[in-house]
Amino acid sequence: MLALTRKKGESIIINDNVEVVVIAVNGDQVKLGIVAPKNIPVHRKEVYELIQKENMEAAFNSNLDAVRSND
Amino acid sequence: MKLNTKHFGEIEVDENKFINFEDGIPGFENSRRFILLKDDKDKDDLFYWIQSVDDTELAFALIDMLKVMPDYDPMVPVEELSALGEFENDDLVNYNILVIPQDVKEMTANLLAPIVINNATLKGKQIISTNDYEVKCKIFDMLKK
Repeated sequence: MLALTRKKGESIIINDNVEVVVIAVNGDQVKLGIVAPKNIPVHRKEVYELIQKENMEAAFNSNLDAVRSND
Repeated sequence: MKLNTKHFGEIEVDENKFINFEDGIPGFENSRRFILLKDDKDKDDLFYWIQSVDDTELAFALIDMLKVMPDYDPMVPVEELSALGEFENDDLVNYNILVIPQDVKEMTANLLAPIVINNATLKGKQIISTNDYEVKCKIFDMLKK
C-alpha cells in the first residue's frame, strides 16, 4: 500500500480525476473532501464492506420455501 | 434457453430478459448477468429471486418492500442511477435482498441498499441509499399484516 503524508489543506490526486483533500484533522479523526466525476461512486469503506457481508449471508440463506410453509 | 437454478433446478428462461449488473453485486463482483424469477406460489407478488446466469449456486431472495412498507422510499444518488441508462419513471423498480435463516421469524431485509433495476435497459445495480435505513430490518411481523 502506498502511504503518503499530507497536511491539512493538502490533497492527493488519483487517476487524474479524483482528488482527495484533507479538510481537517482532529485527534484520530480525519475529515476528507472528495472531488470526483459524477460517474464514480464514493462510499465509506465500512459501508461497502457491510453490504458485501450482508450479501454473502443472503446468498447462503435464500430459501423462500421456509417463509411460505409458515404462512 | 435452459438454465440451471439454485432453487428450481433446470428451467426455461428468456435470454432477452437477462439483467446486466455491470459491477456485479457487492461480495459477488464477478457475476454480471442475472435473471429475475417470480415465485409462482406467491399470489401477492411479494417475493422474487434474482438468480445468477453464470453461477447456478448464486441466488438471492428478494422482497418488493413497498408491498409491506408503503412509505419505503430509498433516496439514491442520481449519478448512480445514470449507470443504469436512460429511463422513464415507471421503468425503475427496486427490490430488497432478504436473509432467511433457519428460524424464519428472524428474516431480515436490506433496506439500506436496494437492488434497482431499469426495465428499459435491463441494467441493474445494488445502490447504497442515502437514507438511514437498516441493513438488517426484521420484517417477519410485517408480513403477517
